[in-house]
Amino acid sequence: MTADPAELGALYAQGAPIVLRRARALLRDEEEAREVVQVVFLRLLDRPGLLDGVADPVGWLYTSTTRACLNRLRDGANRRRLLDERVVPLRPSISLPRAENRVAVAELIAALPPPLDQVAVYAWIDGLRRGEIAELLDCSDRHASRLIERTRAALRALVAEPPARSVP
Amino acid sequence: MTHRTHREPTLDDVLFALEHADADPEPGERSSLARDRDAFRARVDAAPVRPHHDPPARTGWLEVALAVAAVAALMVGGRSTQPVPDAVQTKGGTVVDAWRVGDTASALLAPRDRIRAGDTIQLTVSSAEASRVAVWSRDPSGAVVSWFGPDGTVVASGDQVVIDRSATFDAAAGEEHLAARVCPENGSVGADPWTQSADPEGCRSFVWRLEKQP
Repeated sequence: MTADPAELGALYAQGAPIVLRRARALLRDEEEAREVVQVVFLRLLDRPGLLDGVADPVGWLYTSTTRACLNRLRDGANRRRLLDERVVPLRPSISLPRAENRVAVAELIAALPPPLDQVAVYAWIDGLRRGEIAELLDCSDRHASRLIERTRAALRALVAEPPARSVP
Repeated sequence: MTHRTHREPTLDDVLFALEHADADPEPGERSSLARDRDAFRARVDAAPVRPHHDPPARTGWLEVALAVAAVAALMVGGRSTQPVPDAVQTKGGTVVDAWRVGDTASALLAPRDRIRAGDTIQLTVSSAEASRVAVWSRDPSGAVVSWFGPDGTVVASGDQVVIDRSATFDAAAGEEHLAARVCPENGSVGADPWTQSADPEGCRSFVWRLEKQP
């Protein structure tokens, strides 16, 4: 795909719903999700060369949306607020209202280092198998399998030892 | 004993999803990525059906820039005189959005919003469960057009569809109405909401009231 204006227009018209649906699923916040749609397409306006040689625009939208959502979850203000309010209740014995708990789990994923954070999103939000995760991460199936195992181990470690709280 | 139909997502769900991801796929299994790729290809390949005269030019670089810039301005603290666009969501999880694909910008529409003559309106339907969706438009003269006939169209569970049969509004200035009714898959969508104000059982109607300017 190129940065041809007509193709970009089509990508926006046809791809924005895909971005919006995934952002809603991950962020569970309508306003935040709609902002992610804008963030993803603003990147294309700033750097139209991003699409040069991209044969799979949907895959590109998946990876871009995932990064944009994870970045929002890592946002400093959100991070402080969520760490204060939600890290402790992540422990399995404590229950939260459904919507908030989903955000809490997403926050935990956002605390993982790349690309383990993306691996967790593709498996949990999108239900992808290792072959498709490998495609999106541009690696071999075998490496994707190793990343999946590392992601599981890292999540377990995070729950055993929550991330340190930031000092305001 | 407590019976719950919806369980709170937990870390265990993520761990299970990861374990599942590392297993071999079931025969015929289709992921959301595969479905999105197919739907995207189909939508790009298929020319949209625009029932009236020549459509406005396809949304291009400048239009996208203007649309994104307008929303970006709001994101950094600007104030809008437009109502904030809201997704329309049923209890069953079906989300209906109206998008304006016009000659100057592409944007989500609020339930009461303004459009310009020549704008094209596109609806997006995301369904968490199988639903039957009907769409109508009513022009300033009161003439009603049904986009999918008396039976509507079925949106499958977990699917997201863009209704390609876009409406182009370019008649006289005035109030244009757009309505969508979401019903159970096996239910009837009934007549348009201006003729039949009460929703059929299990259905919910959504109406966009659009002030059309020349």
